[in-house]
Amino acid sequence: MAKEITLHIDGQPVTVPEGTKILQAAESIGIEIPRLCYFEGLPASGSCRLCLVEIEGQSRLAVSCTQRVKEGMAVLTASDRVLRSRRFILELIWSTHDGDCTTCEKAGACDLQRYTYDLDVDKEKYGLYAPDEIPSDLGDPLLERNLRLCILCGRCIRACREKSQGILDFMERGMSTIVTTSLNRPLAESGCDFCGSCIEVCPVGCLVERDRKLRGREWEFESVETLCGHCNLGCTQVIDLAHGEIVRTRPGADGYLCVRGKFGWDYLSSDDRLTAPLVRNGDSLQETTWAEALARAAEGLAGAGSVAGLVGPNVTNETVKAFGELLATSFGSQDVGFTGGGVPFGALSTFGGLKALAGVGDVEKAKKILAIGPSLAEGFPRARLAIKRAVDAGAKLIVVDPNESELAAIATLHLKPKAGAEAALLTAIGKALVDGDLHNAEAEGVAEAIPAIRELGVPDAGVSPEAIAEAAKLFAKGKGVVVSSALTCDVLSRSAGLLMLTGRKKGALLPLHPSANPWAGVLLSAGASGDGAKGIYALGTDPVAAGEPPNADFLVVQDLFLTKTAEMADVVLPLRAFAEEEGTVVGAGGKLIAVNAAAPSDLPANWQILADLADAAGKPLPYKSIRDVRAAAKETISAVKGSLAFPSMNGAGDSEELRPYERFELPEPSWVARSQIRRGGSAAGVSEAKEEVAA
Amino acid sequence: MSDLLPIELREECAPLAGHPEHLIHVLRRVQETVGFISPDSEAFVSDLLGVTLSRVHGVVTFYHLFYTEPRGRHTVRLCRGTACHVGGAGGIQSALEEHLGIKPGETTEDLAVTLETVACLGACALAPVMVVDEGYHGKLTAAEAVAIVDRTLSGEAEAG
Repeated sequence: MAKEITLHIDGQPVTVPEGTKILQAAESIGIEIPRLCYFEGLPASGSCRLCLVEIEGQSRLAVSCTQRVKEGMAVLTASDRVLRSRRFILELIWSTHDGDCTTCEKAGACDLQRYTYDLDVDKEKYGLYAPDEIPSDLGDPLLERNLRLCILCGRCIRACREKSQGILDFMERGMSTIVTTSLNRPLAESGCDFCGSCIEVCPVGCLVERDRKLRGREWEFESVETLCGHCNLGCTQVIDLAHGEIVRTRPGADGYLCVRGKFGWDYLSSDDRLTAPLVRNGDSLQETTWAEALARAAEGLAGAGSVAGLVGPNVTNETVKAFGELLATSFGSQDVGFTGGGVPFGALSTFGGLKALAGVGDVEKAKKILAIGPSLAEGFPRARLAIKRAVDAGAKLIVVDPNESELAAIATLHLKPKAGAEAALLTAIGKALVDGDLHNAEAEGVAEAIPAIRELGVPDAGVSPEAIAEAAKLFAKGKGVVVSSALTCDVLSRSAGLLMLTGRKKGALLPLHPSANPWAGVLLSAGASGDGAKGIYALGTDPVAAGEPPNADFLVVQDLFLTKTAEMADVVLPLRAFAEEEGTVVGAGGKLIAVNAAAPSDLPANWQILADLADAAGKPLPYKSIRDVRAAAKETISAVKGSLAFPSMNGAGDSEELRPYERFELPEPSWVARSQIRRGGSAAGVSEAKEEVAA
Repeated sequence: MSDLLPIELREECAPLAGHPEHLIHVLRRVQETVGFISPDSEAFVSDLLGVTLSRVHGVVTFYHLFYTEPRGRHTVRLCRGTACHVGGAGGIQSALEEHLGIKPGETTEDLAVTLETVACLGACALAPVMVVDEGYHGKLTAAEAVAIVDRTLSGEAEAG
């Protein structure tokens, strides 16, 4: 318990823990001290001098974002002297800020603009020094860097260092100082991973998303918070709309989105989205009414005799639950598969139940981290950030990856198994734990498993026995997690086995999956075979693209786009995207996390479409509202949450009992390329227009 | 990547691997050895010390005495401080610029001379002052300054 300090700020008494900065102490009693370089969550640099305050008995003004409170201190945050100094600083900033608030995207949300107004600052007092060679757009994809607006606060530099690759810094000196990359290279050539963390902290209009330009003013934005749906790490995401259209996404309370969360939203408003149902007429699909399409789908599926369903992992629990219910109630089928890269229910049972699932918070607090799999840092930047934060806080990191990587570079131990031998390596580590008596003999299920593990031969993973023994020793004790981008059943069941042997049961396993809700399979009673079904309903999944074309007499496809599977369907129904749906997902620790319909959609809610289809089939679903569906989904998840057993740690044989599925490959982030092409095109258009004006 | 850096220098710096606090020291050693700090050298230093490239370049561009371009074999520093200014440094500068065909901050094409101006050399009693490599020359006229530079260059030719 830190010592408490009492001081007075603007005459008000305040008591805060020792070590608190004056600025934060003031904030705790509702006094906001202006600041430009300080940003909550980033290290303070004390460089802008706007937060200067007067301390009674001190001749010099103090920097309140870096100066700690002292017992009995009397602070004035808005004395005449302080205000004079603050105005002077703002006047100086305006002498190099070549900005025009009437056309600036940041107007209304700009800290410089706000303080300038609050303090009635004379912007032109010192004239403007902004030589022509300072660029107004460095031409990077996705975001604009207008150095003519930069006020050198350094927030972006610190944000990039703390959250991303640290590619920015102050270059040159004195009046020539600019913030840019090494050798002023374009971002794309500097190791930038385009997370946009710099944009979020920029107090002025220097850094802005290209997509939002000229789409609306800050005060016109409507904002809704939801979860990002690009992977299962569950970062909060705020979607900003102007005039009913998405203009920007940004991180929520977590303060971080990766490039997919930050810039990967253009698919939502793509012209290629399905907006109306289609029915087959000979060789072609024709647009029709909902009533006609649902009637055709109901008739076709009912008439097929045997029906199977396939549902993908990018929808809410409610959609999965309603889908399973539709198949069961209306078409008498229990044959529903969770597909499209989703981890099937059978595999999930090897994870020791949903409670074993970890979130990024568990990783950040961990003392021992086992990170498995290729492209983990690149594919899941939020996981990379969590692991780096834990390592910075003293955690030991073991990386299992045949290749060198960013994480391998900061690992305590880097194990390089031969190709495809990750699972064998984990088995070997498990055996080393037992052979070295490093396991937790008290933990549930361990005693029974030990004899079989002692009998095991050591599988050859291409890693030396010494390294394996060291890994076992490193991982044995302390709060530990396994983070894996390798999603084979073998790897995940061995990971779960290691956690079992070391007595880690809760918040310990984080399989990384490139979809929003990969555990929704628990809502379905059994894995589907789809074999022999004459009627198939595929929702949010594209088996043709996955190389498993459905063989059915009658095919219904519901999806965002006209996928390969949809092209061969008899009825195609539009689907609301994850960001457009209200509902829940299965998050860390098996908790239900609510998501909001943040993006606009003219379509009916997904559960509603399914209910309407049930009505059309004459066998309605037992739901009157989304609440009913949510309650049903919650009940199912609560029922299975703790009941799933840990796997045994037997040899390689047991994995064959599990439904095998393929190693997950990172999809090509096609929208990044798309955005760049499109934005590149429009940027060229702008410069052409400028040239015309100049001519 | 850092093939141009002599092996002796890389061996000398090897014990500093992973120690970012030696950034300036290593940059100085690189410059003393190869005369300037190239992008490749920055990459070498960044890898060696575990400092981001942006930080390395930021430090290199911050300090006046780190050079990112190849330097002349001789450095001519002309004082443009107050006393030297009054003493006629402006005329000397014009004469040197014309004679060498370069502006301050530039290097002759044959890499013989780099011309620089400095704010004060602390030798105001000798104004106007010029420093050629390590040698001070005071109470100069434009003609004397040009002659000193020429002597330096011809001395090099004789020695060579």
